[in-house]
Amino acid sequence: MARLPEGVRRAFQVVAPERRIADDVEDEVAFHLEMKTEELIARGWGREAARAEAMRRFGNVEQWRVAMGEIDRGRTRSARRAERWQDLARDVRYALRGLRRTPGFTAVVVLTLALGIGANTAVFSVVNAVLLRPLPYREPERLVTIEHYYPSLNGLQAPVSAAGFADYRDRTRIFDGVAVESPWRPTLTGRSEPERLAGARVSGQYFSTLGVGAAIGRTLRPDEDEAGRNRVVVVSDGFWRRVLAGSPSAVGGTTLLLDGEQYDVVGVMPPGFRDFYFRDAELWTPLALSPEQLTSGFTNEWLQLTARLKPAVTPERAGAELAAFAEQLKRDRPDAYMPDWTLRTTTLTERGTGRLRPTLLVLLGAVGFVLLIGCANVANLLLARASGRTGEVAVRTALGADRWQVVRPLFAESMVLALVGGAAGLLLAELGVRAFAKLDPASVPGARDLRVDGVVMAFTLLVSLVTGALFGLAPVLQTWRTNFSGGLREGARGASADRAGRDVRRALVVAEIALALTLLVGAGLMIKSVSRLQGISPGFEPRNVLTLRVDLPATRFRSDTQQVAFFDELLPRVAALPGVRAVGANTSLPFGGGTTRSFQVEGLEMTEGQPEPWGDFRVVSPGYFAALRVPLLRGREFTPRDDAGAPRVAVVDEELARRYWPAADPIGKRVGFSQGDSTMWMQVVGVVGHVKQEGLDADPRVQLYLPYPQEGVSTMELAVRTAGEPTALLGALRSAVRSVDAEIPISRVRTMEQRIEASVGQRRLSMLLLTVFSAIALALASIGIYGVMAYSVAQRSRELGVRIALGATRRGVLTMVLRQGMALVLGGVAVGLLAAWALSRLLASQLYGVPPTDAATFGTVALLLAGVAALATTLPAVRATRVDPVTALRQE
Amino acid sequence: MADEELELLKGTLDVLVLKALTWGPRHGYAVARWIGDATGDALQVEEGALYHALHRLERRRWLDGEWGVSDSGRRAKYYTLTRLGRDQLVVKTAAWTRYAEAIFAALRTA
Repeated sequence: MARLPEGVRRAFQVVAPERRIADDVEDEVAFHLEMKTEELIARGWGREAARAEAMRRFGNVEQWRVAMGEIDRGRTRSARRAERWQDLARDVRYALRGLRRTPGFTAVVVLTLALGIGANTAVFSVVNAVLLRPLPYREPERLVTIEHYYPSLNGLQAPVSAAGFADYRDRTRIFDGVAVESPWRPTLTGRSEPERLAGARVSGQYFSTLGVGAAIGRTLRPDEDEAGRNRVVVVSDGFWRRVLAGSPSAVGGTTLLLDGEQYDVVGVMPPGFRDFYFRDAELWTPLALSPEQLTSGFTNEWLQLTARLKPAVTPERAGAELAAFAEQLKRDRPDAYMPDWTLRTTTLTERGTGRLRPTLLVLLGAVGFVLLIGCANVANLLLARASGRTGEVAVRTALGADRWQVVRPLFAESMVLALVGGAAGLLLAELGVRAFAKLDPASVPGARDLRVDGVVMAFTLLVSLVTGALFGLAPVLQTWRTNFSGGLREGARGASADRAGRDVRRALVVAEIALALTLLVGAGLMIKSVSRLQGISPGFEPRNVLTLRVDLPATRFRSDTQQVAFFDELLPRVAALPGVRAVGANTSLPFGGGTTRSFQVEGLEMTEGQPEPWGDFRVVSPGYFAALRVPLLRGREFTPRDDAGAPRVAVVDEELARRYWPAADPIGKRVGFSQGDSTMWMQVVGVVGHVKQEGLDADPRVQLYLPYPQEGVSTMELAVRTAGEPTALLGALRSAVRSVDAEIPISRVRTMEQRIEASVGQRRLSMLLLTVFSAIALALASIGIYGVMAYSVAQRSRELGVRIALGATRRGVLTMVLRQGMALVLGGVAVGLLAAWALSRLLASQLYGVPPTDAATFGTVALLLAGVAALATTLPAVRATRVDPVTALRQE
Repeated sequence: MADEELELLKGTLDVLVLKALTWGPRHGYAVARWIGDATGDALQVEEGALYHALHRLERRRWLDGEWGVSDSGRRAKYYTLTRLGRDQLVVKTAAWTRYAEAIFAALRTA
């Protein structure tokens, strides 16, 4: 009997298919029974009896057959499994060996993939940190915010008022808790250095609305939310460790001296807890709104609101009910609200990420495009590599390998490349993310929490596998479609394989160019927006201005007189410092928040249902407008003579003057604030230019200024105009403040340009990233077109040689190759323009002063891309003209 | 049949099957005959159980099964001892000898 050695049998993987198992078992048993029957007949049994005896001795034939079949099936299954692993291991080994043999190819592919996958991983880790991680509250999806919303004021959104809060809390039935808060910046004294802290004053239901309890002690009780009982604080885990030494006994027994008042520490929050609106808050104390605040001043918008929806209420239904409720409120209190005022509700999750979401999604799309372009390049390289293997494939086919066996190693090679590239990309991303987290850009909240975690790694693995499958498909399809028959002939190339490969390669290049163009258009639009935005005047001169904040503790500066006296003394001292050109102070300098309030205009005829005038309100120092160089259009600005004893005066901006006194001279007119039954009137003494207070892009509110000596302010931001580098004066400024009062802290020191920069930071960041991504895309696409043309020239060297031998001029060859290359480029540009036209809408929310389909941008970008691609085509075209006919014809 | 007895029988069958194959490849019928002859038909066991043992040992890679043609010209499945099987036979023979001697010694005393 012929037997193959064990090793050979394993090499050929002789594994019986399932259906043959039962047949074999049956044959084996039948053979035995026949042999046994014959044996018994030989011993003298009759045929029938012998047969019966053989069966009896075997036992229950059917049962044994089943048992044997089961064993065999198990054996086959494990053999198959082992076989599959062996195949995989062999394919991987084979792929690694092949890749090691072509280090240049491998390096280019791995680098391309590492860049693409790394960029995707990095952007995804931001998406993961900012968009995907849930807020640290119970059932955060049920938490919403309510904001005042003014559709006609450019969609302005504002916080809520105390009186409004009372209405929304008490007169609606869709919430399980409504809370408001406002920032609190107390000075901690009585422990080493005085320290400015960040905290929040919160209303009674704050912690129950968020659904978070204290880790130690308790949270604030609702009954502590009123004056007289509100000297209690809950502190963050970080504060507890840093200031209270992490001692559990600190809770309940410790008091903190905050702004000179004793506060009992009643609880410590768990480590992950943070305030939604005031990310840095470390202390929470009752807001203790007065009954007066809760019933008047419906447009004093200064409180951030958080509400928990009842389980059955969807955010959509809440939005609809609140909009209806707003209409109801406007009917109930016609003089309190503007006609187009309404309420808007947003989930906290959306509110926290709403600004960033479109940016991040666009960036994720952009890096996706970069990776796709990289994929196309790698696919092209693999196609060329696969063409070089036509012979090998033909041999394997001739030896009986089926198509799957032929393409499997090709696919394995792609997967190995993708995984190696993915690993390298993960490394790149880790480095990039670390660098980004260290920068901690203010425009990306939570950037410092960035990290490459399990979710990100899973994403990278998935992206790598999908990438590998994508570019791995190209050589597989080409080989699959190829008619191998010609491959064995010496030197011959399967003509159909070549044609199929060429078509795929060209399609890939067209796609690459289209993708790159789309990205370039996006980057171009962003660049144009940012430069438009930066070209806008903020309404004052921001260069060489240092800004800082001075807070007077309420305990030591109880009266307006004391506060005014402090700033009366401080400002001249600052102005007298060497290097200081001018100084101005404002309760809230531009590009750093502000307040709004309603006011009255004397003589304004109020029609039924028309709301009070309402606008941006700031208290400034004499000389403020001159210091910031806000143009004074009419009248005068405040002077030191506008003090508490002088008639009350106001300065308005050009918008206010135009809106309420379109025909008359505003100087001498009066504006006022209602105070209960009476009105406090102020005479307009000057009109100044409109100032962009919150952002360069839009600020439609009218602006009203009062002089601080007539108002009294506990906090002022100083704007110091310097002769030279603003920050150089910081030391002198500190000592000036200290010379007036040693215990006054200064904070938030920034130049005015930094404040403005921060307001465009997010746009600038996405512009920067889009530009980087599209530059990579442009480079990759150029390499792609170069590669394809170079390959095609190399493949056609024989044909080109013949042409030249037959008298084609070199110039003719050059134009022919260039024309073929440019056909691809123009095809890509055409597709890309269409794609960009369809996709640039997604950028609309981030653009400024540029329509998403800006023809100039589209045109410029198309020209740029075509130019770069033409350069990339020229090199192989020139090489084509150098083909030596003799060598080319001898080659084969 | 009680479980221990079954296990004992399985062990017995396994070692006898291995032994039967030490002289080269055999089909199941030949293995059965050899066991019958060698033990003087003392082992009263269904022949199905023997085949079960053959397949079990094949799955454990102690045997290799291969279809061939028998002396009478019919298709039959031949079993060969693998290296692993050979090693197992040595181990099992030693264990069986120790076991049988121990029982024998115990039964002798009295």
